[in-house]
Amino acid sequence: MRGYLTRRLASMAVSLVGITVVVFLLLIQAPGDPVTIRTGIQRQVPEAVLQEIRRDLGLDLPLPAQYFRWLSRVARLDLGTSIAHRRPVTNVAMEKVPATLLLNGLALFLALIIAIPLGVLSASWPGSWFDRLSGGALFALYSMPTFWVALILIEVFAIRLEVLPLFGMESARAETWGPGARFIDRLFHLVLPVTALAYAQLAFFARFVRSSVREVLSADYILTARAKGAGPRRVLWAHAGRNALLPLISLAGLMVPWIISGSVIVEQIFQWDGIGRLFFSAVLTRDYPLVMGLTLIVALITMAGSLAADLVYSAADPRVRLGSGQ
Amino acid sequence: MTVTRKRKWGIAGFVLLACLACHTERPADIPAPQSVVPVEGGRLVRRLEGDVSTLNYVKHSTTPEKLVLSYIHDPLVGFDQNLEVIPGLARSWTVSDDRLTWTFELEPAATFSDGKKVTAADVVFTLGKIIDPKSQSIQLAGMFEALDPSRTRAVDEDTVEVAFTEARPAQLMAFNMAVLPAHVYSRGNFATDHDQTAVGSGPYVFVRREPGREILLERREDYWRARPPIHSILFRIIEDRNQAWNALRTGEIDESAVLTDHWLAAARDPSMAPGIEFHRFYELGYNFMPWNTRDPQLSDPRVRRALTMALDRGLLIERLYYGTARITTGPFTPNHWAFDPAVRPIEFDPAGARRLIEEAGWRDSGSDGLLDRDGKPFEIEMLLIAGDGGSANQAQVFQEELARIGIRLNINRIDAATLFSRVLAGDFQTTILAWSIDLDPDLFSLFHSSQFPPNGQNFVFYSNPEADRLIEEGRREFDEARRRDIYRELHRILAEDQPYTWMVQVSTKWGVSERLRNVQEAEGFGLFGWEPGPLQWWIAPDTQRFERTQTQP
Repeated sequence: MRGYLTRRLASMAVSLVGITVVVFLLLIQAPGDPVTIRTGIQRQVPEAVLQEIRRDLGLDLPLPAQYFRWLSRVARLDLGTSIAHRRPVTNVAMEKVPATLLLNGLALFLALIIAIPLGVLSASWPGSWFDRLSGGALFALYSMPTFWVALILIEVFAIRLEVLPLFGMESARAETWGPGARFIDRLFHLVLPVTALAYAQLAFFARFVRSSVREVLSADYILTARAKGAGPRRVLWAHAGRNALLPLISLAGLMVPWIISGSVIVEQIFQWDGIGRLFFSAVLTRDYPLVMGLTLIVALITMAGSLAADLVYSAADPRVRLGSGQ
Repeated sequence: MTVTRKRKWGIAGFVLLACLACHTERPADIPAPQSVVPVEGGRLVRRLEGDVSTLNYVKHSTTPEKLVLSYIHDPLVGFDQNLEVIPGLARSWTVSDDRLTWTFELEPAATFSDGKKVTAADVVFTLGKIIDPKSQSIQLAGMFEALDPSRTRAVDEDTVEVAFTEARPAQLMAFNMAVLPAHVYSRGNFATDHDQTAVGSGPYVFVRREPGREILLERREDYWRARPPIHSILFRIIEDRNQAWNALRTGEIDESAVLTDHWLAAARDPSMAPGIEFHRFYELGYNFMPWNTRDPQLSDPRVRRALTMALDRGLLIERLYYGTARITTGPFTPNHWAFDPAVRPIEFDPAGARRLIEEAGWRDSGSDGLLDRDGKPFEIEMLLIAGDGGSANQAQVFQEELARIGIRLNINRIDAATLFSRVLAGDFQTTILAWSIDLDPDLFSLFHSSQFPPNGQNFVFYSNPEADRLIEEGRREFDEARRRDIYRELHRILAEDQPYTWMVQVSTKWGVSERLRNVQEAEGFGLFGWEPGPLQWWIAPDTQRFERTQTQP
């Protein structure tokens, strides 16, 4: 087990460096630099000012030097200063994490608690009207593009009915309210973006659970359980359910980075001030330190998530033993 | 419970009177309704089209930064509704006979928000920071390149002398600049320690900022001039124009620029935007297609002229702007004094365009409907910013029209950063851009032959000795009438050479909540950038829905 962990961590470190090198090269190779973005095509900027900006951003150094300067800072746990925000990357990024965590965590949670019973139920009566109806509805949901659904939700609930807020995380005058009113206000603001995020996942998870349960239900041990006289409900939830939900662990592990890295489209449309929006604007403004910092954070979390999923999986499934031979 | 829905109030009769001025394009002609006395109080919620990255005035570079700072700082000199220079922190000024030295008398009563007096030393300090490259002053350094710091000094507490090494006719306009309190801004590192807050002499003070979301300003009760009526200003950051439109309609914000399509929808169906007054005005700016004159296909002025003839600008104005735009003929807009009304627009004439291009040696030798020369087809690549719907529509119209005369226009959509860097380097054939022009008509950086990339913004590589001479003369001429003649002559030459296809000047549309009163326009500047401008707005008392919040200083 220890050997396995060491190998995994070592390969993670190598991958991380590799990812940052690739992202760095992509960024630098992309035309346009932060100086152009900052000055725009507008008026005459004296050459001395432009040079000072380049020097200040470290753009006057040769490429490898720029990268190693960044890497050596990272080694000291310093992600540098964002060009657009003029504040430390760590602060800028960490400010956005709670918003994204709240939005995506809630969406994932809702999607799962609806999807699991839905999937199990349709698997237990395959071909029934319920199975066919839910299957059709879920495919329809899954095939609708997120940005379109988000815009429809806004048009219907925020503009025509005026029952839910358009966008943002709280109302303009929320700061004058008590904690209870602010909490309710926040919930109101969450409804549309969470719906926009959750509906497609819900469809995906429900179908995933259904096929997983179907597979398990056709296994020999289920036949044994039935032969022993276990009732259909007990077979479904106690015997089949537990095994069928194992693959969800891996899936959930892969969802962890998504929970934190955010959804660019939904955050952009609802002006949800999270990591996804931050990343998008960082790329457009060629905010090199911010893009690099966010890449590093997301890569780190992705790897940690998949490692955690593997560890939990091995704990949950006695057939899987990590690090033994192979 | 409805969280964001605004309360809709009935409109009192006198309110309608006050809004008579709202729909006119030249409100200066209409006497302000004197019967309506401004009422104090309320919170104005303004839209900010992007976050600010610094609140340090000397370092500011974007429109949102300029907008927020305009409430916090008073300028040394300002502009009135007729765009004439008027006193600000400086109550008077004189210039030496050689026009190299300006002397400003400061208003003795002017104070910063911390109570300290605004002094001549603060002006000298601010100018010193503007010309120091370490401050990275993108907006201001260029206007003070000829400053002579050794002869710029505080004569006494209220008198400052500012000296230059070169005389420029428009130099006074550069003093439309804030004055920073030296006792605040000399603390710490000027370039890095003053981005998050601001101290100024203006009518509002900075209260708080939530990055990416909002900025709150509150009125200064000890302001040294007459206080503006509105108590606090909340800037909400909404980048997307569709979102801003929705926010305006639901009352989340009180004002926003409005896209032509939205404006038209509301004009046809007022229930689309209840409670919104629309203003429409021309600012100083125009859309254009630059032609890279170093490109062998585009180097011949006849070809560039033909390309302009092929563009049906009347159709563009009708189809895309529903008549709310006008044709431009050269580098100045009709609302600018340098504009020459004698320059006639190049008429839409596809057959004439084809003849001109054939004169330049292009033939359809393959009989494939495409013109060619030396075996190469006439093909132009147009760079556009991906996601910019406005220019995409213009490009599409042009593409169809060019196809009819045998020219292929290939549209290449790229991101803004890439487009800017390629255009600024002169690595392009054409694109669609918009200039907003200064009050000063100087064309040096745009069309002087010394300003090819990377020196300046003559990215079309335009070179004409006669134009060069006039551009240089215009920068040195102090006589207003002679200066106007110089720029009108330049207008004619540039219209002849067509380094750009000057397309249209699109009027700006602005939606303003009708709870705001006394919203007036200035020709060329629109609602903002002049005094009192937004500082004379007030909020109808029955719609002052935001209580003033108790906040720590």
